[in-house]
Amino acid sequence: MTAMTTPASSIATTPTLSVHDLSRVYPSGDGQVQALAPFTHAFPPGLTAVVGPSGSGKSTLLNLLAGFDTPTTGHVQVGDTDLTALSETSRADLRLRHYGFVFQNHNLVSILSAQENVEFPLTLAGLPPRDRQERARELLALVGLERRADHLPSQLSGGEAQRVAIARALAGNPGVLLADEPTGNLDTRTGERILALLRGAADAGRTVVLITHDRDIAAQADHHLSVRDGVVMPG
Amino acid sequence: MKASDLWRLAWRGLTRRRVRTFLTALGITVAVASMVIFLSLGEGIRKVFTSELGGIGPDIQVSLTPLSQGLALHPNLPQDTVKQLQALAPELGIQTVTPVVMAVRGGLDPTQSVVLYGLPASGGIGAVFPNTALAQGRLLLPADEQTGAAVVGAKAAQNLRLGLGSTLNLNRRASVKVVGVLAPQSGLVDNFIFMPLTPLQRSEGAEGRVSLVAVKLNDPRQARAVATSISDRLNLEAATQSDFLSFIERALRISDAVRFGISLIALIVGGLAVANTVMMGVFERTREFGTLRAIGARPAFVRALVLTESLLLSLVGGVGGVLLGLVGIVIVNLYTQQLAGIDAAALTPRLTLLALGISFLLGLLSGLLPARNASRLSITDALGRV
Repeated sequence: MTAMTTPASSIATTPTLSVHDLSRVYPSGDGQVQALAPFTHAFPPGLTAVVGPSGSGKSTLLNLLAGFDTPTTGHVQVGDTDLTALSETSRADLRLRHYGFVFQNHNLVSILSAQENVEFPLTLAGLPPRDRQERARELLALVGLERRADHLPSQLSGGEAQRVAIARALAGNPGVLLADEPTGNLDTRTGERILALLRGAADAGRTVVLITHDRDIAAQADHHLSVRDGVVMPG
Repeated sequence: MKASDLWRLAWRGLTRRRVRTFLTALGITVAVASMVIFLSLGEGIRKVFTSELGGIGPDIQVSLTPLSQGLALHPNLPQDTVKQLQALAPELGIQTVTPVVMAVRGGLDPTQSVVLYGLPASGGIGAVFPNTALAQGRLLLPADEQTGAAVVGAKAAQNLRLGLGSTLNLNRRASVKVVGVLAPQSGLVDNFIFMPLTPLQRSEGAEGRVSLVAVKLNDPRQARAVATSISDRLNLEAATQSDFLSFIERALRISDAVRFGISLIALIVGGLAVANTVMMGVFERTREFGTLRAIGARPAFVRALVLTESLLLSLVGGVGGVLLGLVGIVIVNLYTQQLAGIDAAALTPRLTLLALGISFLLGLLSGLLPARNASRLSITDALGRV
């Protein structure tokens, strides 16, 4: 297995990802909890690590960046598009075109094989079977799992399943990759392999946002943000 | 996503919990099969009547009692009517006029029920039932009008254990000998016992009266106009074959509605089982749906996926129901063949389409709520990352 070698020129689009005055307040009992304080930032291409302890607001930030949640103030800009102004359907389309996701748990579809899981975003996009099968095979080879293509997620180890999840995230050649604690459930050695794959994706010109509480992993990123009590700060 | 991919994915979703899916599909199968069997009875009877009436003689049936009130229990039409009709024959294009006395003999055991059908021996059975064929013995002869005789339909002979030379007791004082047995017709005639008119009138205490008069026309296409004319001029009920068929059709429609109502209960239970299975599948796969939505699936896709699973489940159950219904129909027909020599149940293309259509509708209705819920899941809640 090697680091991601997809050249930047092959990435469909590399939209700039930025947030402007982004904040999130949750109602709590009679009062309110500020999960994320107003925050403006442009995410450059490369690997950006967002670090902070549990409950600091890292995942809230990722939910807002992905369009899973709606901010209380501000907006998320993906290229020329204001993500926060889009309908649910348009957000889904934007995620399919421009985003890849890697979750803490691999979140693979249990009834689909590794190959079919990687193919899935391409199936959603309506690619012909031959094209999507070829692309999935390439990606599984890239993450070193071409021989496990026909295995179900339940037949894969945690590390293997997470590598399949990275292959799935890269299937549509997205410009933005959001990873939420992707090494959180893995041993150190497997975690390093996953990180190497993300590193490769970033080196290929993508904007990779890596949420982690592990300072050692964060140290390998190009850019750093830290979150504490909902306040995001550089470094 | 292409429809074929969606159906494939839905099928894989259903096979994830094979036993649960199988049991739910079985529930639909039994519900649809019961509907198919119930409704097939109406279809079978329809087929029997429509296929037989063409072969049965009278273009017009003249009686005192309207068709809607059924057969009068006792012959009530003066036999003079025959003469009145014969007088009109040249003017109305009447070919033959046959007085008929009908009497039903029945008991608690349906196999012992027969229809005694009296008609002039001189005209013969062929005057009303031209397609009858003899298996044993002979048909009625003019001399039988005085001495009495009976020609027995195949099923009546079997059920009442009558053969050539057997004695048929009409009542305590009257009996006739069986002189002939008809070949099986696979129809109602198999349950008839034909007798000369006079002995039956005598045994029924109905001398000078008949149940109806069967009229054959030179041109059967004029039946409606002639029937109206007879009705107006003689102040009698005159029903054509098409009147008879539409009366049967009306009666069957009411009966269809009752039988469909009964089977609807089973269908509703089956539909609830599908809704429950699909809803449980949605609960179990909340995280998976959240993931699908996260990686770019539209809410409409999730809705379509869940709805397709529901439709597939119901359609599999529906096809199973039609096949199981077919087995039930064969069993019902084996029984009714033995009982009355007819196939009382039939699986027609109309009924097959109805069963599959109802299955489709059931799947659609059962899947609507789970599909709506699945498509409205909050991604953050579904992923458990709030």
